[in-house]
Amino acid sequence: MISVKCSNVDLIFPIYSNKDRSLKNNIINSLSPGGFLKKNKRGHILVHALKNINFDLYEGDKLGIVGPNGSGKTSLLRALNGIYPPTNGSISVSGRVGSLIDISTGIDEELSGIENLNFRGLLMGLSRGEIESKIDEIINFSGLGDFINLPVKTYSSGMKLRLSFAISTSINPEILILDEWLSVGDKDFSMASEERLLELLKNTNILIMASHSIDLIKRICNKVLVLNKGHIDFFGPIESARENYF
Amino acid sequence: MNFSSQINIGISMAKNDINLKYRRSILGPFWQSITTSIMVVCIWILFGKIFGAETSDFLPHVALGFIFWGFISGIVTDSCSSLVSSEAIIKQINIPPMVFFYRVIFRNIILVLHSLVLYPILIMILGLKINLIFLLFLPGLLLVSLALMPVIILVAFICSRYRDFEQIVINIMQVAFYFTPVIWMIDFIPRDFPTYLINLNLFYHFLEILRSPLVGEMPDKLNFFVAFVEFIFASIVSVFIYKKYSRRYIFWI
Repeated sequence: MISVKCSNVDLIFPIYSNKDRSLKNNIINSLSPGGFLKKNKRGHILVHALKNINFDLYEGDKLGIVGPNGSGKTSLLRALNGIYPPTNGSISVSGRVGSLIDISTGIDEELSGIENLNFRGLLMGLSRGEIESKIDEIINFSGLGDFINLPVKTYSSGMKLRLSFAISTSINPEILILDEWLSVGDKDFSMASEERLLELLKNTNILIMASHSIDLIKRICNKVLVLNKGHIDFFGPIESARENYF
Repeated sequence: MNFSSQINIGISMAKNDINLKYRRSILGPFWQSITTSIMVVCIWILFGKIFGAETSDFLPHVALGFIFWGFISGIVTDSCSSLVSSEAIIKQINIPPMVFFYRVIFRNIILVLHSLVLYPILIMILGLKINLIFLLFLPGLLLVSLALMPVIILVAFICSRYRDFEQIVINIMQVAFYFTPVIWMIDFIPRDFPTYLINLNLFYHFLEILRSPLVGEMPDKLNFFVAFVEFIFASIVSVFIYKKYSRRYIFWI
């Protein structure tokens, strides 16, 4: 059974730095939209990024996560992806996870497009055989042509996005984690990329997507989770979400 | 992520590191061999004269000593920044830290193989006699790499948490260089020299395991014994540390 379960999840970051909190920072903290800052016994500043998060997702669920900057959206995505271990509570994810949190991760500007594709493929957990079988399709989709053999630093920013988008979306996960909908490149490519992303979505069982675009979430998702200062303000079917959460 | 894909990523990262280091350089990785040769020739001339050493013993000793010291100390000092320097990947992808430790090992193995191009040249110039003991080199390299693995784990975690530790490690390795017979030979030391200063030095044993077979000598049993004991003991410690911190370390980076 493919599912994602969070029970009583807390995520507290210790911040190790030599600078102590100043009075000025104290005041700024109390006004900031992010989680509250505290100190632990050793004097490290603690950021309480997620507080008592509870929700379950099952096959067919498409969750949209909304909330202001600093409300813990990306932290939650990273915790679900297994990058951050929860401080308290438990996260259990059953199913193959694919994440598009930062699509240009692991892209090295000095290496050529093709070298980057190979390396990224490995990082995403593909075997060399799988990469081999997908590489033509990826290069084709990126539309980079002969540029694929040049170092990425010679690419325009649009071309870089095409490259990382093409490789990132060449996965077939059961659970897809997305940080913002990816719409990249010029008019033609952005249409092609939208299509590819929808295709990817069709083949995934659970989607978890953080976004600021309410229209998008209404269009794609069937559930919504509203985060505010690290805790859940609302979780449930999108129809029953009060308008004022948006 | 299974073991073989972790190894694959480690090797891939190591290759990329080497490629990037020598990109657009004509001699490329052979700069590694050239740099070593220049150093070795200087030491041979200077210390060979000071100690009045026989060239046929001293030159291969210094050359191989330098090459393998580079390997050992390269691994130890590279492990300091192995996690911190990969922050960008670690914070975006769920990837076990072991991958970055394999990267350190493989990068240094590639470098040492490039330096070892000098070895056949040495054999030709000096007419070194090689015997079957030579074959011990490969298992030796494996043993030393394995014995250094727990060291990498411990150093990498401690250096991520306490950033001052990197400077301490660099200093330790600098001191260890002088206490290890790289530019001097055991034969040179006076009889009343306290031998525990040598025998307690882990790096001395590692170095002998790598170097002796290539000069046609059997490494001492003590060398293998110390390396083996260190491997077992440090592995136990590092397994505990790894289990405890292999996920929490992300907060240190």
